[in-house]
Amino acid sequence: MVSVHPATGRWLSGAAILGLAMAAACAGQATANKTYLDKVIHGKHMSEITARAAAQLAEFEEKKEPLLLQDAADQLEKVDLAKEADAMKRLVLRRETLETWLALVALIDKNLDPNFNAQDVPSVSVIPPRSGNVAYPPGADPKLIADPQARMQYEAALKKNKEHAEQYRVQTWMKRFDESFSPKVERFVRMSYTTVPGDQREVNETVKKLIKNPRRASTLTRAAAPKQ
Amino acid sequence: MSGCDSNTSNPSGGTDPGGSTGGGTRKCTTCTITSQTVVTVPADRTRTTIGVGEDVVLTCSDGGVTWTVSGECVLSGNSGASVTLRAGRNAGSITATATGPTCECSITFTVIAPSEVFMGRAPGTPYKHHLNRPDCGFLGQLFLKPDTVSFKNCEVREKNSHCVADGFYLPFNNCQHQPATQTESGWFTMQDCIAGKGTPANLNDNIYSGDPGGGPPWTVGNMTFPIDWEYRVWGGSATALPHFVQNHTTDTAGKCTTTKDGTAIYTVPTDPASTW
Repeated sequence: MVSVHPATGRWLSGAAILGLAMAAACAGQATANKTYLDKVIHGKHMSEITARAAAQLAEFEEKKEPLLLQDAADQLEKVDLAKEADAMKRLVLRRETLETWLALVALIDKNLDPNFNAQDVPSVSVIPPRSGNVAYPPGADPKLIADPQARMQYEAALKKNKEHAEQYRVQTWMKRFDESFSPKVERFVRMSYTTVPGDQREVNETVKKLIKNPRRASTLTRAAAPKQ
Repeated sequence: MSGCDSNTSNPSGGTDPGGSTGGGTRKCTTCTITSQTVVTVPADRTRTTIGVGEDVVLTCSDGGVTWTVSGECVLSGNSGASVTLRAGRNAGSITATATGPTCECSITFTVIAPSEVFMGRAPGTPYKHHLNRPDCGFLGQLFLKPDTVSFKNCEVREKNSHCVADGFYLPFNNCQHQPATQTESGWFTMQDCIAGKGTPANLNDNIYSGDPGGGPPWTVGNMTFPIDWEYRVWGGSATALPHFVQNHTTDTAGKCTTTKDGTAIYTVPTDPASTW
């Protein structure tokens, strides 16, 4: 069996591909100071698609811009295992896709606030406190408020509202993504993994390494498990 | 094409070339594409007019098909019986085509952008008013229209502006709508569309005249903020929404009127104190 290395374009033997697959698998193991999640989102990927998705997850970790998660999911949905003719490369692609999908939902779990209250809608602006006889209209610049205590109170309210608005936006997207991505990840596991022990082991071990949310871990391992 | 010798388009989706004759051609069967919007409001989930950024699940009656699209959109995959199509960031037209070994069918969507902003009063909320003062306001809720599609995947923000004020409100002349440090607000997410109203934003808009003090007696006053909102789709670039104004007036009796977009309220000084 021969195949072409995706990065170098050189022809590889079956044994070399097996070695590549094993090296990629080993690269996924957590080191002492890096979590497995870090390794997945910052590590090397054989697949350009999962590499792009992982880069978007890494950028999300840095910027906390939730729409990057949608971009990563869009990438992962493009993965078509059936189109990878080389069996060994297909196995690596499958594992990388599983790891990246799980990293994505792990990031959702990590950032989703269980106490998020969708009813607590943020305001566009804040009404300044009345100072003496004067009440400025909402959004007025704090410098206009002569009373230092009222000004400080207003500045604190502005800061709090801005933070609340930002957090509300992030949590709204997180909640939506949790609802829309979770079934996609489960479907990927169900459709891509068989009931043979090797497949089961790969799913269970990857879930164990990446998923801290017990309910999600249980759902995902059930998705791969042999049907009773 | 699927290898058939000719095609006759069927606007509902199917293509049935029918009259294949001659050597080497195959007679095609008909396939159909059904579509269902991901959001449940508007109620017609089979509609082919959708909002910018809106998601639609497409299902082909023939399972073994590959999907291609023309127009600005993202497909969740390019094979299988079902895929999700996400409309792009701009108004336009999208055609999705499913091609199988013996059939080809397509479906076309019209994508529309928000064309109007409506500032309504948040249901069940009281006015803002101080007893014996000529001040008034209401808690606003912003909607993107029309209500025939969902703009749930959009976000909105308000640009900063300066008011023009005279008379009673003259002390507020050139006052900013947002603190001087910002040129616009942050982005706000949207909710599910409400039939008859549009797609509401996840925000409260504190719409209030303020009170420069003084009086009675009161003088006539007028204060107007130019209001400009923008929307974006899936983090894309900001697009301006139609301009409108926020206006506050008082008269010599202290009657205060606040108007923003399509909503107007008023109070008189003797109205009881209230706020939201």
